[in-house]
Amino acid sequence: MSTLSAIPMQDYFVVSADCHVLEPPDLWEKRIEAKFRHRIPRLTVDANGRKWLVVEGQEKKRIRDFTLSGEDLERAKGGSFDLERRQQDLTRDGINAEVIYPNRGLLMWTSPDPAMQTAMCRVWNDWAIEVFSPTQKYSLPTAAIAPQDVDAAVQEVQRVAKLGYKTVFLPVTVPDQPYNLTLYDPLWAAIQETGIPMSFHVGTGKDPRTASGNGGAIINYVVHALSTAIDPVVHLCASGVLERFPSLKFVTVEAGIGWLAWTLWVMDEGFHKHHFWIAPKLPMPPSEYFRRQGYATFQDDPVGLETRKWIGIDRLLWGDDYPHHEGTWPRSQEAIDRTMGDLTESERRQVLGLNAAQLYGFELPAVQPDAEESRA
Amino acid sequence: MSAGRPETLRLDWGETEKAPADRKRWLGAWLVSQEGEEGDYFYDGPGGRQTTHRVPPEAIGFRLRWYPSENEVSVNLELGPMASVVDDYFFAEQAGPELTLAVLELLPEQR
Repeated sequence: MSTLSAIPMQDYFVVSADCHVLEPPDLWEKRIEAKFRHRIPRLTVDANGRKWLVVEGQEKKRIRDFTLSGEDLERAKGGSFDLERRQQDLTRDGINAEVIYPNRGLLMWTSPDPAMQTAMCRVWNDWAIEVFSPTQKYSLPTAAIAPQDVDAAVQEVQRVAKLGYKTVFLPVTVPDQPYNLTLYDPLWAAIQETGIPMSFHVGTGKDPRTASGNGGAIINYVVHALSTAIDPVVHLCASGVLERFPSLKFVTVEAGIGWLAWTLWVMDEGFHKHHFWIAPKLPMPPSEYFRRQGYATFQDDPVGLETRKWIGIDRLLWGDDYPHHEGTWPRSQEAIDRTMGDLTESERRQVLGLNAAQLYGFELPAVQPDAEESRA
Repeated sequence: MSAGRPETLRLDWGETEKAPADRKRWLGAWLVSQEGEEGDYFYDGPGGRQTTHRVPPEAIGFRLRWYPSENEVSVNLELGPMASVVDDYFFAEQAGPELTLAVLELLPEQR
């Protein structure tokens, strides 16, 4: 079953459905309205020379200096918004097209003030389309939407669609305002009206740097970042949102997929066994809504790939998470060889690029690479 | 001129001994309220210079942000290079017509 493991990525149309760009260091300081400027995330140094990350809505966090070398250092230097350098990095990793998320911009929703969130998102939205519009055919930036103020969010969805965005993203959770509430219906309607997919990137809506002390880095990664992606999946699939908005497409990003088959299974278990408690009564079990309208990205998840028959191969989007340390850049070929040996060639084509191309509208090459021919 | 506000602010941004690509980059903004709201920027550039700025009537002090030099790679957090904010400087009640400061001396780690 692992006979495909030697097929180079060049034989596929490869889309990384999860990449990042390091914004200019002074992006928000230069562009946000002056009245919000003093509230932007920042570093401070105390009288003892200790560095602190100060983010509105989160506890102040100690930042420690350390050194990186080799590919760790390369990743720290990656994520450029220089289009030529970025293209070189993509090519080096065998990527034909990418979906781009912010880096520091993942903090855009930390403030409890919806006006601050909206202001932060507008800065990113204006900048990212300016930078990437020349390369949008293969480098697709995502527009950020702050959903807490639904009216403002609807306006921003309509604005970014006019700017030329082909996809939007929202925080994974909204504190005290979960996505199953019908107050979001105008937002879902606006996104559906644009015809573009929406996504939920981990590390947003909830502080992913909550734990400290022993095991803190792993606790934060697993508990406070990755596992939060279950939230929008269940809230959208079980609540009737996707029944009311059948053309809405959504993606969980960077959470992996190992949890997904189980989530779909237990949603349906609840749907059947707790039927007397459930409202609204939906015509389909929740998992069917995911299989109709949901997608999930992963980078290095052999466990999740083992469960693909429970999810649906057409729901899975690979990404290298460039340039983050938990991603696979610049060694995606090795990760694919290591994790996708059991996939059929057709399955590889789908998860490596065809599913994403169909969802995001990337133009496929006139003649697609053919692994069988190239091996001959 | 209102009491407590100098007419001009002269800043020495230091780091003249360093190559340009090794100098911090700075943003300087006027402070217009005790709550920390900012007015216009008065400086956007690298260290290694001395600059003079006319203080606007609404300013009650200033805030400086610095960013890592071009040659510095930010590895201490996954957020990439970002602004370090220096403690706000509020003009003293009895400020003279000209205030001269060495910026690096305002950094806590330099004190």
